[in-house]
Amino acid sequence: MRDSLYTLVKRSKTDVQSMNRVIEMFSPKILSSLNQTNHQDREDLSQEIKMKLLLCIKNFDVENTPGYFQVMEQLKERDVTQR
Amino acid sequence: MRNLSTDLTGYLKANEDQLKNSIIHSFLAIPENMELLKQLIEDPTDHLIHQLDESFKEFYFRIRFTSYLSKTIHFHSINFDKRHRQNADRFRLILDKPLSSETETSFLDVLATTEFKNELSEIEMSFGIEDQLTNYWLYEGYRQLTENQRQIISLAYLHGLTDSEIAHKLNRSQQAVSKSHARALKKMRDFLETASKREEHI
Repeated sequence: MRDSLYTLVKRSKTDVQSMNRVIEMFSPKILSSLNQTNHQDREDLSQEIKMKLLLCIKNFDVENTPGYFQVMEQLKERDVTQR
Repeated sequence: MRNLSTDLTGYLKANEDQLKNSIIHSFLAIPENMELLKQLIEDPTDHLIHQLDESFKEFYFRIRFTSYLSKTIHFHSINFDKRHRQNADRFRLILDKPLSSETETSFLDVLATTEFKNELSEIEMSFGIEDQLTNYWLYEGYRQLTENQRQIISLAYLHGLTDSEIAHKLNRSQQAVSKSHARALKKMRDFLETASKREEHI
């Protein structure tokens, strides 16, 4: 089975290979965003985005993702306060 | 068995509002997760709770992180392009491109017109700096200068030319211009100093 994004990002804090795979997963999005700029600057932009992603992936707090019951609790609380 | 499935429907009914949330909804739309929830309600063990939590985390993380990175890519590329266009606008490589979309005048034309203006101002150079002086003693000092010195001071400070440019314009050597320039400044400074001393006496 292919690794999920969750495990890949978790591992990419230390593992360069995983980091590479995460960035590759986003390459279609990067390619489409290259249309934002003119031809000459596309390679620069692609590099800049990859650098940005590197930082984002490194700094994202994976452990902070709430679990199922946590989200259910949050939703309940929100519904109560809204009433 | 029937009782158990009503447990699940009971749970779903009790949490109806929360289930309307799109993330929870799409999470439970996957049959495996629904099955897991069903098992959990029938038999809530720590292992199952952990399993459901983990599978939800994985699911939720994928959505969150994908949207986060997509937004980052999107805005970063927009900002990148903005910055590049700004730079291209400030440091032009093409001279005869229109300056903005509204006007037809190109950078080259503007350069040409400023040169034209320079030519015009050369005609006006007969008007010296004395019209611009606001300090009385400075004005008086300026009037002490010779015609040649006045011209150099005007060219240097009103039109911002360098000594060598003035020399070129007046058909003289740069050394001569520098010398009269320095002498003119000294003359005016001396005049100002004696004037201020005179004022102190009064």
